[in-house]
Amino acid sequence: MKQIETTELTKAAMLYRFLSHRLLNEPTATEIREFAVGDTCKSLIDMNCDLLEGLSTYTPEDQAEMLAVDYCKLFIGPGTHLSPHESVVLGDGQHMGDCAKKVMDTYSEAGFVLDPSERSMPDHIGVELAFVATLLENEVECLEREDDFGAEKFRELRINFLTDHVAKVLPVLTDYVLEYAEYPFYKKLLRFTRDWIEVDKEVEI
Amino acid sequence: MKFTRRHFLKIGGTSTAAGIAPLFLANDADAGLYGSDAVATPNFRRADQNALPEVAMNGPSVHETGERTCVPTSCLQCVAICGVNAYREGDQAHGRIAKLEGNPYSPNNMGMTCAKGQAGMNQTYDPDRIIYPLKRVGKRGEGKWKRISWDEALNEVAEKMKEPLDAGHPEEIMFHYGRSRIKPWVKNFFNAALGTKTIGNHTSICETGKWTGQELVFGKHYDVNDFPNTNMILNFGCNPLEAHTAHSYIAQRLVDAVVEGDVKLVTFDVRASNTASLSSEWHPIKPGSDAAVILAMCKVIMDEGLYNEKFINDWTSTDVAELKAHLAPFTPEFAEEESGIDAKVIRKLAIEYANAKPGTCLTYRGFVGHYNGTYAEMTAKMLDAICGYIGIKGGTNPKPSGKWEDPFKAIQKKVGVAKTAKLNIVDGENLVVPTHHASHRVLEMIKSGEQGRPKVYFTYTYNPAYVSGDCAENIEILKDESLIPYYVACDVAMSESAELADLILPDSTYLERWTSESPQSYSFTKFIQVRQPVTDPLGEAKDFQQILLDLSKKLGGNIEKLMHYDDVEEYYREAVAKTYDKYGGYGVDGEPITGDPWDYITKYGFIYQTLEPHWETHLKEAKQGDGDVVDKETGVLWNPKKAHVSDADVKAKGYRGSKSAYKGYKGQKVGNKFYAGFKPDKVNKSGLIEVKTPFLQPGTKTGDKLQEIIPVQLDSIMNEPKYSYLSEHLKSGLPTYVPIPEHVMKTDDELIMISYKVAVQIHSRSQNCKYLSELYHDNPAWLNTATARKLNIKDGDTVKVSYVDKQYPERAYAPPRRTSITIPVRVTEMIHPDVVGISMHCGHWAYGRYASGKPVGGNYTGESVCDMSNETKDWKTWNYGEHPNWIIPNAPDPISGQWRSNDTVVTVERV
Repeated sequence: MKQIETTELTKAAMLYRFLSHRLLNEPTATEIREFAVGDTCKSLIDMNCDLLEGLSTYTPEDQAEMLAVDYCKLFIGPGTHLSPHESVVLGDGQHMGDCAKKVMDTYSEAGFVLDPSERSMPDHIGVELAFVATLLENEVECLEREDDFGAEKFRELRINFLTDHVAKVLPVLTDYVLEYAEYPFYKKLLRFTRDWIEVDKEVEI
Repeated sequence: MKFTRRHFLKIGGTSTAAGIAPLFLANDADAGLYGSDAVATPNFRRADQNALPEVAMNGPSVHETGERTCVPTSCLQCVAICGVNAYREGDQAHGRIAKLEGNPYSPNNMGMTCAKGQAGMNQTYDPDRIIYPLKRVGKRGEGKWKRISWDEALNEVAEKMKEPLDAGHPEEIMFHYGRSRIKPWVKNFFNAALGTKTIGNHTSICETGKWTGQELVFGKHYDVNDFPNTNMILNFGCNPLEAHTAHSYIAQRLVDAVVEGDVKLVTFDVRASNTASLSSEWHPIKPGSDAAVILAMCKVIMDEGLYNEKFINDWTSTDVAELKAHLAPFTPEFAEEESGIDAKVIRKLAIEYANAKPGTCLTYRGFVGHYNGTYAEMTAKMLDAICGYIGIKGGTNPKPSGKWEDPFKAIQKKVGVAKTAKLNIVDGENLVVPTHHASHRVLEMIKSGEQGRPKVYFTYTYNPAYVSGDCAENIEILKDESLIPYYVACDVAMSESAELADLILPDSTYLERWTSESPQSYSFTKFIQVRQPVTDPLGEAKDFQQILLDLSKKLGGNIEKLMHYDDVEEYYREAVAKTYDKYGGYGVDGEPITGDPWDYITKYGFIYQTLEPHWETHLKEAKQGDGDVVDKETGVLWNPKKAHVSDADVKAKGYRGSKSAYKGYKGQKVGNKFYAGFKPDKVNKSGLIEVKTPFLQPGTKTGDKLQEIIPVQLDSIMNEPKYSYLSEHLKSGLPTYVPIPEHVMKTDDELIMISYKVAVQIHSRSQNCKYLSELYHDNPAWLNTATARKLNIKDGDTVKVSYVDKQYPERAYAPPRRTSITIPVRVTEMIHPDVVGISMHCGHWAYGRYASGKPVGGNYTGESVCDMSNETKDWKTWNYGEHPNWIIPNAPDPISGQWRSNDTVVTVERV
């Protein structure tokens, strides 16, 4: 039973890392090329989430450029952009506002610091998703050491973090992307992420 | 179909499949975030690496709520460079700046900082800030971008630079900067390493006329008015309570002088600024006529025998008889006719000023932003010289400031510097003495192509599309790839110019970097000041100095050797050590520093170099040393070797005629002794106050140039009897009143448009600051009550302000491409009836949401889903105002090249 649980948690952690990576970085041509023929792509399509929909006639290089422009327009600017940071999306509109501080405090209270070499801000949605993955990985580590108390603590932190932060940011960000994205890639990615968070945060503590 | 947790986890389960592998390179600490297909997701590490998870959970917090670190640094919201303390929550890498306040140890601002300074963190945390290198995709100006890595970005810039470098034309790389504060870096990288001297600044849009006027008469530019010790202040077109290069601390001292010291402040300004409102008297003066009033005051003082004869004889280049003769045309009645100021008032104030002993005359952009701005500044210095108010306690002084050693100089000596070349496009055309360039004309010069064009145009925190006149033309030129083949912009915000670039490099804000500072000292002591990073740059933004280091490594060879350092802090550590070795230093307690000066300056923000105030510095005796010679014509003691002047040139051309001889200046002979005098800069002025300057007299290159330009432009005006003095005065070398041609040609139903600054915004780069734009985001045109009545305009009406073209011979500028703006009106008694006044901060069409209202695309309606955020929504309802520069031509003052921002003739009609 515990084996099944740790396997599921590991899968969830990897899913969070996948989503974190995709929201922090534009896909490269190499990634697109490999992704298009991999199992993840098929599984996503099975869930009505064909990230590369409408792009198949273009080369991976062109696709990468098109998605890079879309990413920039959506999340970096100038033009139609909403910086994907909790402080901007939910806070007073400035970077590193009180939302970012609360997120940092949460990291700290959980006994973690963001690597000083990491240039993304602590409340970037991609960083928040990576933090959830970190909590999951630590939960697994506890379970493997049969530290149920520790695992429970990490689970509680994860659910609270999802509820208090990630699950609040994603609906706004997703609605925004649905309105402004040029290609299906980010529309589907955000919708998928939002839906997954809705499901995952409901896991019983 | 509703998907279950199991469905989602299937995606996670595919992670080991070959196709997804590159997406899951988690926790690879060596992989950079960008620039490679092997990308890591962010790493979190346990605060205590050895702790087990459950211990870590209860372990110490590294970001305890309420814990703040104080970092003394230097403000750069405006150029006053106040000492500030920044309070950081969290660590250097990911902490945040929570508060800014004045540094109490600052000799200038003494613990105070203005609203702009306190809003400084808005620059860092602007949600529309550029935090990644961006490369243009599609046509220039189309608005399509993609993020690229620093490596890609710098490879591209290096490649573009190599082309002109390899072809032996470094001058085809143009660097054009706004407020940089990193002069040694600019000189070392662009001049010494690359070999280009095609370098433009932004001074001509602000104060070039003031600086050039001072360099001709006064010496090294920047005059410090000693308000705490004066008895009377005459203010011409300066508004220090709202904007000044020493804003917060000159304002502080001015208020103290007026309120607590009962000092009389008299302001001549077309508009009742905050400073005018504080004044004992406000005299609404016709734009550009200040010099007539000052010259009339000079005449009264001379006629009444109230002048300081000793100072005139000892320390000026003229004498009483010559002054009296020169001033004869400028009766108070003449000045009244020109300025609208009552002759009796002029007479009364002149006598009062001469008797104040001491007084000080304050001037700035409102005064010099005219056709006659350089001459006007010269008249202001003439007035203070006549009264003997220069270089004394309570008077008008050359600026004291601390000195830094530049470690690059030693490297240059060791490695050798590149041979330099320059495109003659930064000084405009047909200007007499453009000592601070005419950078607002650079784009026009590029368009004309007569002096060549840069292949690489590199801007740094400079926004020519917005800050210069004739914005529409600027945009067209910047967009044209045939005129500017490659444009790279380094900036914090997506400015109106950056959005037309090919590549954007994200700069750090001033709160994220190192700089050495030694601002003009209003305490009259000398000190150095540091700017240090409060936090690391946000996102992937990077200190421009570090960008230059990284770029030099891409370029290699001597360029890399000359840049020498791996990181910026290394340079500043060395600079502090060398500076301390040379000049020593005192702590804020007045005692010599005993420990490491680096530790001291980073802890307190300052090191004092002198403790006694520097007044009467011109009276310090100068000693003749080895290699020093005395120039017979001027009495200047100088060292030709230091100025790189040959013996042959010393004999043939003397001090005046030898190139850059002023660099060897050591002192001035007065009587039988040598004194420090008033040190020259940019021109070979003597150590006297050269009220009469040879540089504006025929027989010199510049004087001959003046004769070619101004009499031609004033041809019809000079025939009028009341201006008949001009033909002689323009040859005299003495400052005179030159009427503004457009204003002479103006009809009664036309107005003069001026621009001004307000207390809570800087010129063009603070409108992205949320706190400031909440306070000021709309700029209705000020119109006098009587004028509004005449034009049937009511308060709140919208009007069309239209440029009126006034042609005259060789006027040296083109009419603006766009000729009208539409703007609401504020009807007020607080402005001259002939004037419409529009502040210069508003009407951004880029620069982020708070500046332009364009956070989310051109089609953003304010009804987006983004409204779910808790952000203050006021900005979505603001009127962002109108920018006056659209209809101001890029006309220059013919002497200095100063942009004539206050001379435009317009009509105003209700729409």
